[in-house]
Amino acid sequence: MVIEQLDPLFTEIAGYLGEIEGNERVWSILDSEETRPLQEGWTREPGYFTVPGTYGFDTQALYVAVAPAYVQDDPSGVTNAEREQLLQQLITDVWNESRDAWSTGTIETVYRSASRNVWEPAPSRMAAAANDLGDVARWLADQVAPGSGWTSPQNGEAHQWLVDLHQNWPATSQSSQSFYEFWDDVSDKCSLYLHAATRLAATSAQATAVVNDLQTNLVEAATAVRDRAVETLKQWQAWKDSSGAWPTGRTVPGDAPGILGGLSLATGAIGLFPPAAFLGFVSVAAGVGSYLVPAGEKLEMAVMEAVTASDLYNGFLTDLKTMSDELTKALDSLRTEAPGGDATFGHQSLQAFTADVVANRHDWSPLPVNL
Amino acid sequence: MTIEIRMRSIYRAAHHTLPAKATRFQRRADEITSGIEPMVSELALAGNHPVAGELADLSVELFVHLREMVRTLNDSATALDAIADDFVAVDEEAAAWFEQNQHYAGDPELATEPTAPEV
Repeated sequence: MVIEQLDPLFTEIAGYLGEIEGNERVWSILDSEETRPLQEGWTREPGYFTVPGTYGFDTQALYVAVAPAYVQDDPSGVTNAEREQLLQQLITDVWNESRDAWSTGTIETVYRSASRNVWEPAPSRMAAAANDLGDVARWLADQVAPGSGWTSPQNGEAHQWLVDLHQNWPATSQSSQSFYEFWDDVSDKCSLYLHAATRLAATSAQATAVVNDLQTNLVEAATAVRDRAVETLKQWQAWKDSSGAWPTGRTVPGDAPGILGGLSLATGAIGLFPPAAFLGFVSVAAGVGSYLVPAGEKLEMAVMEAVTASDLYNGFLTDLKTMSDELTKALDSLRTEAPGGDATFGHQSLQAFTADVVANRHDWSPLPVNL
Repeated sequence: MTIEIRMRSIYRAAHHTLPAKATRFQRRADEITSGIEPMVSELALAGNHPVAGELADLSVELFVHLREMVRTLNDSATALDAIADDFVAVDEEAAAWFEQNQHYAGDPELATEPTAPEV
């Protein structure tokens, strides 16, 4: 199950977002320390502080301290060194509070819920089902092939038992004509059934490919967001080195994976599972999507524009909803678009084809036999 | 033409050929059921997408026709068996042949009814 890959990623992302927000809150404290008005007898002293975390770092910042000339008049008994330590404690507490707030499991639950439609279906189960339907199509193809024996007893291709039966039908019984008409008609009916079975198998294989590809894409996207969060935390480290990379130097999405989108029969992105392919099997493990959904159109991920914890969180949530929408659109395409090609019913969408089959039920039924 | 060819051709069709054909249709009908049920249930997890409804409807139509094939072949086998039995009852030569071929006594072993998809 793909959720087994996603859950740890969601947990990592939530943890890193908590760390990023921790950094943001720490900087808010340090900024206010450097800008709050000073009363008489107070000054700012350079302090050395540690920002905790997986990608923690040391930084220098000014803190409010008693001016040297007023130290002897300070009734509090607190030294400036202790004030520096108190500020460090506040930094650590606030940072931990942020990290813990993002690590309660709520974020993972939200992400799970938003992406449920993509990760819940099991492509391996769908592939097995598509193979069963493909078996039916392959067998029906054999029934319409020359030599299948579904023919009139007078036909040269009739099997011997049918010829014998025809020649030896007892005169004591009713006419056997309806039986031979039924028998001769089976291959015509199987030809119709073959179209239906092919459409069933093809659409099932395509739906399997779509789900499989979007699940793969979901894992890639979650991995990219995790990496993006790590990159952001590293940018915080770089900033204290005055590299200028933060906060004005937003990184531009480069080779980051996008959201697989625009999958449609009309655009050719979802290839029709060809009847010839029924000779093979639909295999998720072998990469069913590699030939059914070739490249696909990539949509830019909203999260890649984000740098703050809040924006990263909301950006990824937007991306997850987009992925779910793209799955719905791709499945819509399988339902409402005509596959085209040379197939007899290629001009009809699945929806139209199914409606026709239902409406023409009588024509599809085997001929009655009255013996 | 001997009575042997006549009787054997009818009984073989009734007891072997037609039930075997019916069984093959029954297996494929069951395969539709075993294929469509998980497909529809998995697509239900993909936001209950309506494509599952079309696949279900189409599969049910196909299943019904294949089941009708099974029933027609089974009924034909039963009818042929009855026709042969009737002939044995009125024809001495046929009765004598049947006496030597008791494995055709009784009803043909018919294909079972395929299980309809619950979709």
